Amino acid sequence: MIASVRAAWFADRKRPAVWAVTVTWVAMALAFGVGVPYLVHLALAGDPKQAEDAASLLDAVLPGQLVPTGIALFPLFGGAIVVILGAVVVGNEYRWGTLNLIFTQRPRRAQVLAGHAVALCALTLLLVVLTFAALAVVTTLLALVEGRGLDWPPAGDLAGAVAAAWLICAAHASLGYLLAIAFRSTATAIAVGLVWTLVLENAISGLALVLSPLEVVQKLLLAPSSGALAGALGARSQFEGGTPGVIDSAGAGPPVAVLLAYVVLMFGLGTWLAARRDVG
Amino acid sequence: MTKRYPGGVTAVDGLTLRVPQGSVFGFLGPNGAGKTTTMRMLVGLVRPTSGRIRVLGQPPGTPNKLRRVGALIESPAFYPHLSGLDNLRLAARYAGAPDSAPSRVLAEVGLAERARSAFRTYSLGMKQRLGVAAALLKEPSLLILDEPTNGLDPAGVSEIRELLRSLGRRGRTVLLSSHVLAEVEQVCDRIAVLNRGRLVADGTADELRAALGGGQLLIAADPTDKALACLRDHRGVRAVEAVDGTLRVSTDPALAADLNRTLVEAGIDVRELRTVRHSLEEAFLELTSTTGSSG
Repeated sequence: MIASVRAAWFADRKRPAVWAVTVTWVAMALAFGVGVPYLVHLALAGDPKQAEDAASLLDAVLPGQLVPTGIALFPLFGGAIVVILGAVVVGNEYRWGTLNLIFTQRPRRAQVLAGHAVALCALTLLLVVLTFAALAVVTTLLALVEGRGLDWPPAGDLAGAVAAAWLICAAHASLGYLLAIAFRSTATAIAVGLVWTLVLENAISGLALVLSPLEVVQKLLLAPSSGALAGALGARSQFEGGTPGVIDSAGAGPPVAVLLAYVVLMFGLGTWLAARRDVG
Repeated sequence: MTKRYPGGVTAVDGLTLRVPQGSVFGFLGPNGAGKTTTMRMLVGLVRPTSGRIRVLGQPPGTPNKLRRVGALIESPAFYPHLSGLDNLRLAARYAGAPDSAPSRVLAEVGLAERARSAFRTYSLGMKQRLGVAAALLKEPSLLILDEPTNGLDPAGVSEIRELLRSLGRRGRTVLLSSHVLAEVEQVCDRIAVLNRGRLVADGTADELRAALGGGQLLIAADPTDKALACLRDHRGVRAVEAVDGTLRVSTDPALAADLNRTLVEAGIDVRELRTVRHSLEEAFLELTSTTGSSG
């Protein structure tokens, strides 16, 4: 099993697509998490009537707000990007036919696939850490430029945010992983995954506002659970002028349970499917 | 074994095959005959719809047995962004092969100089060599190679053939599929011919040729018309025809001396008598045309 994980990590960390997705995401996170709010702050700063909004926007891009600012990015935007990552990592094995090579070596198929799942979880952790690290650097620079103090969040809160963001990413990556195996294709998996998370789940969430029976269903969905976890960690919901995808939540327990269930079920189902089907 | 795909296509139909240990076994058949599907079943990539397969005494795909099996199935499949060496390092990690194995097999297939180039920059022949190298990584007891000389230049073909022969001499079992009949004839101890998923012949190249009826004798004799009449009535002669003053006699070549004696005793001068053996190509076309090619 360890050999399979090492081999999958060796292959994954050298994939140009993995680094393209990671760099694209970190750039997006900096642009939408810090860059755009700071530019709006600069635009409003000269208007006394907008002074309160301008101050609020500046606070959001300083190190003290790293936890809510960072975690808010993951439910909608980060999740979608990581669905692509999961689909790319596994789907390309079908595209290139490399499963033929790997499955005729020594390990059992389930071990090979489990190795890919573990490597994918490690990649998502790396992506989350890089995101928070980049946000920390840029928010520090902005604090220095604005002459504000470096008021860091407690280490425990920061670790919790990284863990929550990683869980959100792992759950979305597991969806990409399952879809790539189910369709034996990268492109189809990405298309279906994005339609699922960005369109279908949002449509159900919208309907749940008017059809109360759908509220139960909504709590079991990937994107709303991710949004609820971000909300539980202090991110402002969309309805409060916060980031799209973030939902008010009473606690982190239920969304954490749902997301963990996604990780186990999607990776498990994908591994089972790939292990029992013909490779051709 | 039988493999039927969803949609009703039967790729392999009741095939029974035994590959002797230590032999170089050729697998012949037209496109769509079921060669690649059979090889996929032997390494566990595809499961048979029915039947029983044993590879080195175990069901195919068993980890401990895969350790002793090297395979190149269809076209070589590798990570395009990794170098040849890194691709083999990756395969070696999965296989549990020693760290020195990738460099060793790259040298063995003549790819050491381009070991650090990305796979996507390789020519078709180089990709094929890398596929053979990957199959050799585990120093396998059984090698399953699907068209290993595809895309190779003549020198490369010769090198791979010599490699296969040397593997056979070292007691390795090699199952080789190829479209190149001369290659199979030169390298293989035994040959199985598949057509439309069924085994239509199995034996040595000589046995396959003999299955066509043993061949022909070419006889130049004077007077030709008298020799023609004499041979027609001879026991063991299936057919005689005169072509450009030469008689083509369809018979068992072992009867050559007997026919010569008969002609001489009849007062006929025999100027030339020689055996024309069927080529393996003729045997192959004959064997696969009886049930037609599925393309």
